[in-house]
Amino acid sequence: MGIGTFGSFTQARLAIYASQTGLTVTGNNISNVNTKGYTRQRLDLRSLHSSGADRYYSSTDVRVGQGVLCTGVSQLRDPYLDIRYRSKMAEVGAMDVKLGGLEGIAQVLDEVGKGEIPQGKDFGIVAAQFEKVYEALKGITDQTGHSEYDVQIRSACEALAKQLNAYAAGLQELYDNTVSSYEKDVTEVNTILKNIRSLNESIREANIYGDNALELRDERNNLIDQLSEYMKINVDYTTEEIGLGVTVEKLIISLGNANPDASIHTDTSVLIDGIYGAQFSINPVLNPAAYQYVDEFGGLTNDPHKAAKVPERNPDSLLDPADPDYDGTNLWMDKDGNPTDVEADANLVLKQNDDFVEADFKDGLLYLKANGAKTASFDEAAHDSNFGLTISELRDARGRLDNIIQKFQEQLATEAEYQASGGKAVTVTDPVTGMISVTTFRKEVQPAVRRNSDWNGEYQYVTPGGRGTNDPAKAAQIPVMNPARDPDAENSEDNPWYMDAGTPPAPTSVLADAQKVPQENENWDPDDPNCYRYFEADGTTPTNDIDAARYSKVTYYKQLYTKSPSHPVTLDDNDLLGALQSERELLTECGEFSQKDTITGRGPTSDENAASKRGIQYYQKTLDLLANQFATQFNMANQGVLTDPDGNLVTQVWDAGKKKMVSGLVTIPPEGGAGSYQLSKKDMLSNREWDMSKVPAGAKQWLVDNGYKTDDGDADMMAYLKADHKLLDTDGNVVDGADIGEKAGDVMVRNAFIGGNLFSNNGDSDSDKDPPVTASNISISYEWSKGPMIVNSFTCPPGEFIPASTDSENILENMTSLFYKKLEYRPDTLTDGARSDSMFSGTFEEMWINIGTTLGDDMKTTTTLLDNYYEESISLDTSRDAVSGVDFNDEAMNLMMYAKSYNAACRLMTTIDSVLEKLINNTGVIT
Amino acid sequence: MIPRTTTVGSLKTYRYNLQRSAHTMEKSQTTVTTGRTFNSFADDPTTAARSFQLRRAYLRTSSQYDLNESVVRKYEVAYGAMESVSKTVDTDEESVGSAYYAILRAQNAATASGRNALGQELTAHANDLVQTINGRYGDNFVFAGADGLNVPFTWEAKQNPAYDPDFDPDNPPDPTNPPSKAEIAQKTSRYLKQDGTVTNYASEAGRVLCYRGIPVDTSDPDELKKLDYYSNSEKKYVDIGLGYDMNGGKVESSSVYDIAMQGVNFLGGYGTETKTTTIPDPNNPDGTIEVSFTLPRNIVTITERMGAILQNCSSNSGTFASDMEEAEFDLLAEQFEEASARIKDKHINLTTQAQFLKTNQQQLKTNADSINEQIEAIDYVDPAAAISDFIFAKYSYDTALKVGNSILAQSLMDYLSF
Repeated sequence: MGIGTFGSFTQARLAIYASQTGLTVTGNNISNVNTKGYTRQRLDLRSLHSSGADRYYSSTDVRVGQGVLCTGVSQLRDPYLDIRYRSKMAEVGAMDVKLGGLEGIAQVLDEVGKGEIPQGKDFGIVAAQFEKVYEALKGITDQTGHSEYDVQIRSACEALAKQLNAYAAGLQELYDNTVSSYEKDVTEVNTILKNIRSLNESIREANIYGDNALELRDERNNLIDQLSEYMKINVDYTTEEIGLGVTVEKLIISLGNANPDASIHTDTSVLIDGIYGAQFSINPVLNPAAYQYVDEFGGLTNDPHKAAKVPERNPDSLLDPADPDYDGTNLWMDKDGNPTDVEADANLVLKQNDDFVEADFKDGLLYLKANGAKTASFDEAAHDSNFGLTISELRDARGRLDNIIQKFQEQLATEAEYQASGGKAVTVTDPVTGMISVTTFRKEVQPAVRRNSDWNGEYQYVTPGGRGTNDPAKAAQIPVMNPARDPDAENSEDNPWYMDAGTPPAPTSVLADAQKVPQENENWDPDDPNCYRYFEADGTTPTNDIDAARYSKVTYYKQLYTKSPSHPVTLDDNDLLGALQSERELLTECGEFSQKDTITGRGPTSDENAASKRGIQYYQKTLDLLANQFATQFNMANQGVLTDPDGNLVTQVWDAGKKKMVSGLVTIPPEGGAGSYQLSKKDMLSNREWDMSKVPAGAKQWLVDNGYKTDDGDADMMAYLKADHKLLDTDGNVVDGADIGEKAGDVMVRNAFIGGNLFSNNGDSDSDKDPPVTASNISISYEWSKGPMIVNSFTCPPGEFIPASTDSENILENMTSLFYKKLEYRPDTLTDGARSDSMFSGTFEEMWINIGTTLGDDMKTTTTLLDNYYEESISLDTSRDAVSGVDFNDEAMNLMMYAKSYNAACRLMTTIDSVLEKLINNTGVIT
Repeated sequence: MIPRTTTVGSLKTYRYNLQRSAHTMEKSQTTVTTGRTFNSFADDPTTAARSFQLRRAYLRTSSQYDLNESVVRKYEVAYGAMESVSKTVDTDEESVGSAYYAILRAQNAATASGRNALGQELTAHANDLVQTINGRYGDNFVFAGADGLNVPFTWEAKQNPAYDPDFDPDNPPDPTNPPSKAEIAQKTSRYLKQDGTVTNYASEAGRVLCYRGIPVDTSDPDELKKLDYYSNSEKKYVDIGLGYDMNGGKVESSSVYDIAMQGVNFLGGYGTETKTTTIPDPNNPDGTIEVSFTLPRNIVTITERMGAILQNCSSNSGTFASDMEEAEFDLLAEQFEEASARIKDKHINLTTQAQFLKTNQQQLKTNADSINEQIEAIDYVDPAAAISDFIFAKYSYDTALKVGNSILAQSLMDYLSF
């Protein structure tokens, strides 16, 4: 069928239209060259060709295409490059945020190039201040006893304390700002997710009406790119049937399987499922009284399915091994409610939360505010210290819940299961999770024959050809012989050889009348089971009847489908990789200060690499540890008991004979008696420590009874020595000053303990405990702030009760030495549950430099990684642009191409017009 | 297949490269303007740590230098005092004005009428010696050992050892045997005069030289124990860069320097010695009798005693008050010579110590200079290299800008013509 007379006009018109559309698409590409995320578009053309042939089609005619059709506009995009780019952007985001946080820490702690510049050198601030303390100590070793040198040390220490306070405040401010930033970014991620969900809905709607919605896709790609900086994601494009055989595209975004622990699957949680989307929330602090159960990780839950299961205890048994009546028997209850000794036999019950209060649960007071008050409002709740995240259930824009349908692999079922179901589908709805499980059953019947594997190959019958057979029909047929015949005589009526087929059989001499039976194999023994080829269907009775041996093999199958409403997912510690996780790690990771359980345990907060991840808290805790070590060491160095040059305790006791105080022995109890103890040099571990194992029980009891005890209630000799002992005369009156020596008492002892805390946790107190000294609270003690109190020496010359006025032994040996001594820094000093071995060994200054070096190393590594990742991301983005980006040369070519084709189409129309003019107006006209 | 290079891709790549170029130039500029090879721990953590270590060593050495200088000054003061003491106790016979010169004159003078005056001169010498040795450096007494805030040598009123504050003459311990007046005077008088009689007035009392409260010529075992401690065991260590180290909780003595100068050691010593000599005794067949004297070792108390003996001589004839005193004087002269010799040893020792401290001072300065050079080497850039780097970075940046100016200039678009 050829084209109609005016069909060529249509052909030209389509060509003009295609060229013009091509110019429009090119124009659109040029216009959007600077539009972020724009994907270049291409006009899809198809040749118009009418197919089919008619019966009377002339074989001499030719088929010609009828022009060009614009079938659509498509985007040029490489999904694989998108995946690689987004994966890289997660790493860029992670390193970028981490580096930003570390730079914030460095702004506080990095002292390179900072500080005063004496002698042309910048010595740092805290680093220089440590040296100023050292220098001031040097001064006092030379000018011992002059209070102005004590003041110089105090001033240097005060400046150091203030500087540490300022650094701690700086880190706390950074921490608080990072919390705000983290909250803001979670909100930003939620906004992105909402927008993607909204765009999905618009694209879906456009798809239904046949529109590709390319610009919306660009916008969505931009958002997905943004999301990929916050977290590693997987993006899948699937199709969704919407009925009538129509399918539209469905976008699924899930977390990118970032958790190195392969047994954890929350790192693939779905964020976007078409028109359904999830939202992130920071885990709140839970009200421990509002939760009934404890899960296997020690977390709180009201979901019995998540509760840990523990063996049921026998309520009548004694549970405390310390109880004298505890016999360790029948500790458990078995499944039948009977007591048992065997824990493995015990009934498993849900682990109850001991703090549970039903009223709180009923009132819905599930959370705690920052001030510890209970609240039912999630928004009012304080953030959990781990800043963990929960992904909400998937909902569409109108709040409808997404359901996830899963089809599991078909499994074998038992006949009983099949029979119980009656072959119909069984539907079960979980009342807690709302998950609907549908199990369908089917059976398959297969014919089979039970063969005898021991068959000896002998058949029951013999065929006419002499072969074996078990089929009597195929066997040779032989007459039934008359048992009464005379075989030696001829067959005759008188001596008939055969028996006929009558009932009962009668002898006959006519072979044709004789009854015929199959010829049996002589070797076949009916009593030998091995002569049978099969077993009957019962599997035990031998037979040669194949029909009897036939049975039916039935197999049952079951198929599980679940339809579960989308539910919230609490993310594991390492489920995310990207900016959000880095921000969270800046807030939570504390390196060597991590809880031992976090490093070795399992659960939402476990992370075997936690010890090497260092966020703001690490630097806060390290700074605290340094401040605490400094205060503790100096406080220890500045107090102790006086000794003589031989190391004997210098106590002042009244010598009635000499009528003066002399250095003498002290007995506890002072009145002596059985179990008393005489204080001795050999039991002194140092000027500050007493070997209490050498003190007899009676003396210890006296110490405790008189209030000289530790916080744990144990006897404390140093407390006794520290106490302010009054001197009493014979009448029990206190004597002091000039009166001493004039009156003699029975018990006159003056304490040998001198000194006290130089540093405290508050400028108004002298205490360095409860709370312990940290970088944020380290202060000069109240006592020191009032006046000099540095102990120059604990050694008194022989017979003296005070050290020599300029003796600086203590300063040199116990204070100056602190600037040379390698001190051990143990994380559990200030952080309960952290490791107890040393994280660093060095002087104060070395510890301080170590903080800077650790930070510098971390920053350098992060910078290098960020540079690499960023460069790779730029390279990938350029590669994406190589596919999707607009290029002026390309578009110029398109302009030329479409302009030329436009011109040609116009020429075509002119030509056709011209020839038709000839045909219509000038053909057949005779002039 | 040649990868497709697009306008958008080229722009992005250019933008990234331009940023890098600008960043590199900014870093070079910072290096030139600060003169530092690194400006944060992150730039070079290892070198930054090393730099702080060197700075610490520099500050420590400087502080040790300052302390050493203070010690040197103290030793200079001590040396000056000992020069004066040495002159006073010089046993050179020609040493006019020395105590020994006075002693010789007292011993050998043809006329002995001047012995009283010589006695006064010796007493004055004793006072001078105490004043000299009690000198201060700054606020501290130089020769006070570790008790620098308290004057080391003091003249104390001579205590009466028989004094009993609880003695009541009206209620004697044994009423059946009441004490005599002399006994009552002995028990109720606090002091002894120079001649050994008792008194309750400190102003009348004789005087005793004490070192840090202990009489230097004591023979009391408890007091001697204290003086032994001061003399031999009491230390005052300072850290002047000798490798401060601890050993068993105590500072290693070889790693620090003892600056406790015990005055009692610089004045001949303390305690007493017993010496024997003979004096005329007509009652003995050989005309002499052997007598023992308990003699002080300290040069001040020796001089003081010799002055007292001379002042006790006859003001008319100048003869000694007794043969005993003359014999004691001669023995004291020997003691003086021995004590003088000990003082000279100490003086020489002090000179050696002062020299060591000065050498150490020089060493500390050298160390500080060396550390300073190391800091310069690792912290600060070579200006020529830094400026060259900066110029190169700027050249790269300028070039990048130039490229940017023309990156969009040419494309097929510019040649289209319809």
